[in-house]
Amino acid sequence: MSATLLIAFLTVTAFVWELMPLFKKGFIKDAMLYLVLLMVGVYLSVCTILLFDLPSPMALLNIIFKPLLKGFAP
Amino acid sequence: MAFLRKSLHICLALGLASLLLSGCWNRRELDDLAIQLGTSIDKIGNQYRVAVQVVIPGEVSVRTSSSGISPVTLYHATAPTVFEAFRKLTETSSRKIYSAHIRVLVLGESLAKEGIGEVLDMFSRNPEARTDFYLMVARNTTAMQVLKTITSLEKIPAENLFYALDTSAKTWAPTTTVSIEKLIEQLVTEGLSPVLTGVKVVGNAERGEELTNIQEIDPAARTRFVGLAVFRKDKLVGWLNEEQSRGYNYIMNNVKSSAGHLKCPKGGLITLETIRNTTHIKADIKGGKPVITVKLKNVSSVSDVECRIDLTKPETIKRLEKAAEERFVELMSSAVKHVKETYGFDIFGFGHQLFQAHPRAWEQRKDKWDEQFEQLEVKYEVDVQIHKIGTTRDSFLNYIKE
Amino acid sequence: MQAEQRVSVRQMKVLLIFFIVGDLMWYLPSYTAGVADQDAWMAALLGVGLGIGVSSFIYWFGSRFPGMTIIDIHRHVLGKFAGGILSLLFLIHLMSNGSAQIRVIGDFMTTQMMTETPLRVVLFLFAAVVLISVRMGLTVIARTGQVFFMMFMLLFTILILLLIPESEPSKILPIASHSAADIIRGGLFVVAFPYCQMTVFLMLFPLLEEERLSLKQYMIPLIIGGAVIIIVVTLSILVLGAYMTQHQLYSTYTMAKKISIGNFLQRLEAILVINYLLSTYFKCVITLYAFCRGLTQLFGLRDYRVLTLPIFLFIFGYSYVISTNVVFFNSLGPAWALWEMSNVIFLLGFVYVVHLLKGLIKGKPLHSS
Repeated sequence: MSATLLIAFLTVTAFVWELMPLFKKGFIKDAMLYLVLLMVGVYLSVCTILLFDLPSPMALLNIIFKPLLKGFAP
Repeated sequence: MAFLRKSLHICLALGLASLLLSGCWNRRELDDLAIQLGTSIDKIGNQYRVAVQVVIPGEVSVRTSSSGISPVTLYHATAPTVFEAFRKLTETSSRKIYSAHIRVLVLGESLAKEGIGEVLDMFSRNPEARTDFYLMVARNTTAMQVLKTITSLEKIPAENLFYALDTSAKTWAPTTTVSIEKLIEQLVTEGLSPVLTGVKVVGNAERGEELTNIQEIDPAARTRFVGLAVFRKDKLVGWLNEEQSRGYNYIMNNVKSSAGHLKCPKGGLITLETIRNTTHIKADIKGGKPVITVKLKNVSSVSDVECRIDLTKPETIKRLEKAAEERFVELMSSAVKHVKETYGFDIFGFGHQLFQAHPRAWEQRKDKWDEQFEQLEVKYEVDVQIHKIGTTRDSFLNYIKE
Repeated sequence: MQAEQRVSVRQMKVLLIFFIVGDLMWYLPSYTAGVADQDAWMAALLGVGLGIGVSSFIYWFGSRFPGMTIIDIHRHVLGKFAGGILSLLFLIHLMSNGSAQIRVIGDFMTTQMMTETPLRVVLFLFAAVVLISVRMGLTVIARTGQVFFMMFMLLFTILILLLIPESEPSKILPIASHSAADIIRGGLFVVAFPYCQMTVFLMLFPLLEEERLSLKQYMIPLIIGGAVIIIVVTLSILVLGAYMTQHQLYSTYTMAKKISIGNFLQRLEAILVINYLLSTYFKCVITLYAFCRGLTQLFGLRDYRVLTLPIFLFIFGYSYVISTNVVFFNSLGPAWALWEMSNVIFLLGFVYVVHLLKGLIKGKPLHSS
């Protein structure tokens, strides 16, 4: 509960202190990227705090390198 | 205005930093913990009975005088696995058991016969556990009984067991210390089987549990280290007696100092004290067969002359050295012979030495090593040097007059 | 971009050493011993030799395109679109590495030292510290590195000296009982983990505008780092033996636990954890700094500092998502090593081949414009 509040606080701070001035100064590209990163970041952080089980992208590694792994892994 | 902002920032930073000073997440106060010093594990039916010896700080502290209360207390619990039993102990104990200071782990004989491997995993996995405690097997008694015996010089029986084994391993050949990582290494190494020291309660065990045990000069019961337990994989299969334990420890280079006797030429006994001892095992392949050479280098001194012997002549010393060499060969070869005949598998690590010296030859032989071990040729090269004879030249026994 | 991000040559060397030592102390002994048993020291030697070769290749690649970061190089050689894709892959790689390093610290802390603390708390704190450092800039990071370098070297030397009495030379026998293939496999781990990750520095070298780092100056930290690797792996085999090194999750910590001089100097492992934490921290900061700079360069943004807060939330969440438990994380080792090596082959080797071909087709000389 308090952890989600912390993340919410950080997001709001980020929004107000950083995103608004970017928009005001007209750096649209910066602001867009910032927004995207912030959204993804908040989503992942909330999943972490609430212990949602997301599938790990690192499983892709095992899939991509499967043929080579046979000769490599102990 | 800038100053106010800056000081606000500094206060905020300090405040946040101090939040972290109190530890990360939770705390454990010292008076919430029961410090455990000795553990014993027995197998009762299908379950493990874990008994834990916990120190009572007030009784062992130097400042308060001891009242008639025992310095340690014992908690025990029975459960299907060892870790559960540890947690179950809190059913009787008022504090959480803190196992980082454990000194000895005593295993019951019935448990050892069924296999000690499963019990050991918890001790190697638990982050609280240390690896510097000693293991031993209780002989002719339950492991819990060993922990219940009150001892006199060390107030805490577990410490007594620890120091007794430590001192004894350094000064008396038939005992040896085994820590848990050494045991696990011996279990997983090919060509080597583990061996643990046995401990017995000698005397009246029930009287040994009472405080009156140490109120007499000669306690009614004591714990004593007797023999070595031989394990096949992780099951107990037998015991070595004193002679064979000596031989085993000499071969395994476990002896730092010891004492042993020889027969004098004119009858009577003479005792030699080993001051330094090193043993090397060399494995070779000769004519397609493995040959083990045990090289023992020993420096001794004459410590107890109980016969008529002339110590002023150098030839006597040479004869004593030769007799000592023969005695060592006899000790070691009888140990090897006993193991070959009674048990038939390699506890000395000859296979492991072969692996370290000739890995390919070992690969060919390792599946049938037990049979190969029974016919293994073992040679002994013993070099005993007697450097000192104490402070007297010749024993006064030679000069006793009427 | 920013005028203040200058790093002197000496600071860069310090950063290089910290980067190479990095987080290898956590897992490298167990990976090499897993493949080569007691011959892990030979695997380490081989790996260090090959690794220095690979890092020299990385340096040489960077020197072909002076003043350009790897993002610029990709854009220049492959055009905006394909170059953008490759750069994105590179950035994803950097981000995964940074998160993995934070995750390794989190796992270690909650397994060995503070077992009841939730993983997320440790990840949050560590990620916060790392991202605050990233926001401060490279000069601050380099100066911090200089400050801590002496302490790091001192603690490391103490570790080695105090462990020598605990070592048993017989644990390293039999020598060379494994086939060359096994030793090479173990060596490839060493090549992959500190040395192939040097691609990070292709992002950072263009910032060293005071003096160019010469190859000789670049090699010295590599060799020192390599010596550290070999010493740690060999000590691990000598003190713990091949079996324990393989099967203990954190073998260097178990090694430190064994230090006991005269029953007095004992239980020093917490002090040595500081060493490991420091080197992992610096590696993580360098990786994430390169990630932030790369991201701003790829999208043509004005200042990288503004991105640190969302990246903090992102890295914090990602380091948890990477794997749900320790077992999965450790099983990623071989695949990750292959990823590192393929990075060098594709992001550098392949790009250079295209560059050569472009030069041949256009008939221009083989230097960048």
